[in-house]
Formats: sequence, structure tokens, C-alpha cells
Amino acid sequence: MIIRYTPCPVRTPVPALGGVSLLPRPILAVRITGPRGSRLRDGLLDTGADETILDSSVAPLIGIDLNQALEREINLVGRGRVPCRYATVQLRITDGIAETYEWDTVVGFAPFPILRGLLGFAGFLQFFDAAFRGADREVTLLPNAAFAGRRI
Amino acid sequence: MIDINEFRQNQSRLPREELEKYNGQYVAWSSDGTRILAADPDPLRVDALLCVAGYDPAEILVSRIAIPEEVSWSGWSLPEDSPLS
Repeated sequence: MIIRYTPCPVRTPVPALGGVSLLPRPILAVRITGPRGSRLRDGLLDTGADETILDSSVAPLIGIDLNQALEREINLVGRGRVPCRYATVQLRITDGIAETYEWDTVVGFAPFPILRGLLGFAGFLQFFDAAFRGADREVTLLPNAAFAGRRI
Repeated sequence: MIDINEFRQNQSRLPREELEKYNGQYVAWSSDGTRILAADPDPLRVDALLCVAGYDPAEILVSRIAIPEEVSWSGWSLPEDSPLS
């Protein structure tokens, strides 16, 4: 599956990119399914994230009660430790043409609003071999041996 | 669902001034990424607006608008109203 980077307007120009203020980011729409429904939300493919973390606003919409969820603290770079709730969901990604993958996994729900989910190692990138092709501004995702979900 | 890359191209054609009107809000995108169907600071309200308009919220991509975003050293991008911003 090939996902093109999305140009995101940023506040300050990036010197190493020639001072541009449109930053390419590997953003991917993810279908998040819980016991009572599903929703589509954007996520950022992030090799620096140890886990997959979603905006908690989606939880009640898909029937997940975070009050009953496992809680543990995570370290937020530059901001210290914050509590995070965990639950099992089904994730699905598609290129809208030929490739769709879905799998069950545990994800974290951030205790504050976030702009988009973090698609980190646990729950997401562990299941894919990802090639970030910077020159082409696109990323290729290929399910790997750890992927125990379904291709649709 | 259309080709996701075509969807993104369509999204990026929306003028920045238009998007800025929705800053800080959750917006629901048309299936081809060319239009915003509903918007509100409360994502639950966006769901309700979509239902009233006859859309299935499960089939609509909802994203939060922040223009411009901050350059980030990690993947975290927090809205300006986040208690951690």
C-alpha cells in the first residue's frame, strides 16, 4: 500500500527544507471499530512512537468506556508522565483501490485532545514493513509475518 | 472510498483561508475530500450533525483542523486548547 505524504501548513518555516512552511507528513486514515460502531480518523505514521495512541473522543462513539479501561502512565516527550487508557479495537486501513487490511489490537487513548492519532510500533507498525521514501514523499506499507489480521 | 491519495489531493486544494475558518474544530469531509460536510468544536456534535444531514458517521473521515501546526520533534501535535500546549 502506497500512502503519499500530506502537506501540512506549519507555523515556522523548516530551515532544512529550504524554509518551506508546508511540511510533508505521513498521514493515513484509519477506521477504528469498537463494540458499538466504527469511525474514521487520521493518524500519523510515527516510528518514534512506541505505541498507537488515539484521540479519546472516538471512544464513546464506538462503544468503549474508558472509565473501565486499563490505565498506565506514559512518558510524553518534553511534558513528563501522563495517564493513558487502553482498550482493544479493530483497526482498518485502505488505499481505496486495491488493498485493505484490518486487525485487532490494543491501543491507547490520550487523556487530552490530540490533532491526530499516533500510529506507533505497538498496535500498528509492528505488523507492517514500512518504507519511508522521502524523495517521493510517500510511504509503502507491506504486512509482515507478525500481521495476524485480514486482507480484504 | 475513493483512492486515498486522490482524496488527499482534493483535500489539499481547499483554500487555506477556507480551512482557517474551522480552526480548532473537528470537521467531517465529503467522501472525495472536496468539501466539508459538518464542523464543530465538539466531535460528538459533528456526529449528530452528520446524522441529521443523512450521513452515516461511520463512513465519514473526521479530522481536527489546526492551521498552522507547530513543527514537532515527536509525533505529538496538540491543539492550542490542550492543557499541555
